[in-house]
Amino acid sequence: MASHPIVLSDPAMLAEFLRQSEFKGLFEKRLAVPPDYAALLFRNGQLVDAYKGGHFSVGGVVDKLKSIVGGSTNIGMLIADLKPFKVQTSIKAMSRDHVEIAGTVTMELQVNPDTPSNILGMMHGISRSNPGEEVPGRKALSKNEVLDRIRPHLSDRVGEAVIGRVDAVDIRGDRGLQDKLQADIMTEVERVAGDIGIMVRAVSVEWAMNAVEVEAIETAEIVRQQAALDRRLDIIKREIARESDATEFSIKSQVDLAKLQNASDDELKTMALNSEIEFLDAREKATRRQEFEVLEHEIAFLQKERAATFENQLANATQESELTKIKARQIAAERDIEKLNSDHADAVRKTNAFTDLEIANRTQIQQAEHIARLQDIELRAQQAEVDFEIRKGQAATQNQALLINADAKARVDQLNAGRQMTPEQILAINAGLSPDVAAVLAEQARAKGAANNETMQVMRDMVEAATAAQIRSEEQARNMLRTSMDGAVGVAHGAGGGGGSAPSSSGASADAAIDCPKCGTSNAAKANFCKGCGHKLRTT
Amino acid sequence: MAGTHQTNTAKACCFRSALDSNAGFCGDCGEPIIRCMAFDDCGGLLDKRGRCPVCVHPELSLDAGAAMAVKVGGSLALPLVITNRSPVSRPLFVTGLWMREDDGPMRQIELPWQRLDANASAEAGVRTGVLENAGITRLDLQITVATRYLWHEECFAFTTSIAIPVEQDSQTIINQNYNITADEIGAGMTIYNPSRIEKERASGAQTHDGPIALNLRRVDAVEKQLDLRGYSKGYGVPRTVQLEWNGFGAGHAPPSGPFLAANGLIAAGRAATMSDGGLNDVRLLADARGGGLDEQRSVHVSRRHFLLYIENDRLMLRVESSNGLRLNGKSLSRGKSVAIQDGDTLSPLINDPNAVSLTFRFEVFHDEVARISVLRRSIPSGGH
Repeated sequence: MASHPIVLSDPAMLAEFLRQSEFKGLFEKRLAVPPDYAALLFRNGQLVDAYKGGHFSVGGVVDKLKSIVGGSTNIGMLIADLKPFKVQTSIKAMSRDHVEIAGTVTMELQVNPDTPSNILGMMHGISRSNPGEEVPGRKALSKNEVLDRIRPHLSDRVGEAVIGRVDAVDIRGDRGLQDKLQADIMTEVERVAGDIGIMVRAVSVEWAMNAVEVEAIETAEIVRQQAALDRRLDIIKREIARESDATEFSIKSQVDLAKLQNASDDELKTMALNSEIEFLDAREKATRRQEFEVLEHEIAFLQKERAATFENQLANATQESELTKIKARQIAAERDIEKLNSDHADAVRKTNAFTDLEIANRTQIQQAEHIARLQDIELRAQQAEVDFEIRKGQAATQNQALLINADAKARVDQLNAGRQMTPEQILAINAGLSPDVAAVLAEQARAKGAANNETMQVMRDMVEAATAAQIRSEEQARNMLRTSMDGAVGVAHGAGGGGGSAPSSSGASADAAIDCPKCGTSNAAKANFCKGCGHKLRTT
Repeated sequence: MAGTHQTNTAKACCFRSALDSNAGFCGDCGEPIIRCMAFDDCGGLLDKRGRCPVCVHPELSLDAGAAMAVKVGGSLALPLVITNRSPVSRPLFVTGLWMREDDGPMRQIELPWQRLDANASAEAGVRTGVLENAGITRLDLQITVATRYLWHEECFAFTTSIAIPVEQDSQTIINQNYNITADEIGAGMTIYNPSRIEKERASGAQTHDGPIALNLRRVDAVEKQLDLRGYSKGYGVPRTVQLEWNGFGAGHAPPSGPFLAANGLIAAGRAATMSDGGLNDVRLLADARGGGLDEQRSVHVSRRHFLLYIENDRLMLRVESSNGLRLNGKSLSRGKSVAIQDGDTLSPLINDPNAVSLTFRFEVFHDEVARISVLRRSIPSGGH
């Protein structure tokens, strides 16, 4: 047998009693209540129980017969919608700054599904009868009636109390205020209707525009209009200024054009040619100057080198010629002695006048004399060598003194020249080079990377480092010169001890200490920063 | 492990450099070495926000078995465990615990204990109010702690959040069959009701087996709000603040820059500076008319008269002289510690404030004091 569904007669209704007639009939009736409805079952005027959905089977012949025997049983049923429903009402209150605030309160209500039987508290004396219909209407409770029951409790107790604490301008968008209203309405409804089965799930208020906001909107509109007018004024001012500038420019252009138009073709060509020639001249002049400076330096360097070589050779040659002369004299002396010996022997043999003894004696005397002479000659040769060494030493000392004087003079000259030099030139000179080398270095560094400040900085740092480390040997200078021909990086290599001969801080032993140039604190040699002042101790 | 670790802790090279008690800067990276006030005990360096991760390492966790879900209309008890995770024997003092539900006000929880020794734990129970609304309810927990060393105290605030699901207490039983017939019991109806609508549901809530560590975060705004750190005007003095000493004689004040002595104290008084073999960082002497030394007045300045140091992002003054001193005209006795404000004037001699005085000026960038200028004045006797 199919079930007969029981639903509310109107969506605006919240709860309805079923008519007695809906249970009566000859045959058994099966009634189905949907699961989102609560069904309250009454027997003989007493609440039997409350159910959430379900199937009911009532009536029928057997019951009829039994009712004849055992007396009649009256069955009644109330169905109530358990789904949350929405009601809306208006709210009016005065804000703290005495501005009338209006709004629409939207409340989500629900018959408490845990205690649906309490809904009976809302049902007294309510009946819906449709006069036009034959069947009398069900006793029912509409959703608006629920609202009517709770509305009077909200206006002053909640609305005025909450809204009266805030200013009109702060009301819109205040979530805290909405929460406060919701909480207060929940509390109030719980107090009023909590025990008769109605609960509030959520409350929100949509605010109508209040007087302060209307005023703000109007003010903003006026400000916008004023801003638009100001902007328009600015645009017009700019247009006028542009027009004025354009007119002036056009007048100036016309003056210049008139001058050009008046010039002949020849004059124009001359003007173009002159400017081109000036440009080429300037470029060639710069190139020539650079080449000339390089050549000048090479010549100076070769001259110095050759002069030094010649002096060496000269000194060596002088020494050799003197030795040769002494040896020649020695050989001549030996030759004379041998000749005298042979002459004397000849004379003795010729005369035979001497006895062997006398001969032997004279021979001994002569030999002794020969030996003494030979020793004398050797002694003089040694003395000559010693004299030569002494003179050589004196000459070297004198040369060294002259060199020191020349260095000092060159330094004075450098300092004098440095007054007109660039920092790069001065740095290079300090590294031990001549002003010409400095000029070449500076020119080449500029030509290859004038804009490369980093490279220049590296060069400066390295030249400074070289200066600090007292690199002044000629070999170092040569290395520097040779590598400098490859550009600024070469300079850095040469001056920074690329050959590995210069002492540097990185080569110091681990337990050595260095003093901070800023605060004087003694730091470990391997430290990157000063422990006393944080000064950076390493350049890389 | 609770996430109290900060990423801005000092580097390993700085710890190595800090072993040299004379080092103010790291020799490897050049960063200033900011030692903890209890460096002798903990060997810790402060992070960029002034916390020593060795001394201040609280851990907050939810004890095992705590319920983590609740029904609408119920309230939840949260058993909390606070642990001092300091790896060395440094005690931690828990000075306050607060709780807030969603957007409600902060509610302070009474704690019967304060001191936590290293690796010690203590429990604190908090209970939420009645939770009315279904959904996720957020609980904010706020904890304030302090670390102490001699008379020093550094305070910090941390916070964490717990999200608690609040479930709707709904019924979902449908399609029950009720046979209303008179077959079984004669006249009337028999109602077969397999499950009552209004039955009580089992109140079994979700729990967890082990303790849950909560992620603690430093809250600098709360530290200012609770007046734990910084000044009421919203700015603070970092340990790396630049100190400028103006008006001092040669060698009578340290060089301008951050003051990075190992103990963090600037000692001032009549005695010579440490660089001259004395016991002070700043030497205070009164000038005589004509620019010389006024020995008669200078002798009233104590050998070590007061100390300056930075604590809780404030420049602090501690009086060491038994004669006391004046700050803005108000006399302070020995052992008093006060925070120095911008524009304050300190006079070491109570009866002769003009003999020598120091005026402090702060240069503030946003919420941080970048430079403190200390100006010394000495008006010779009989002058104005």
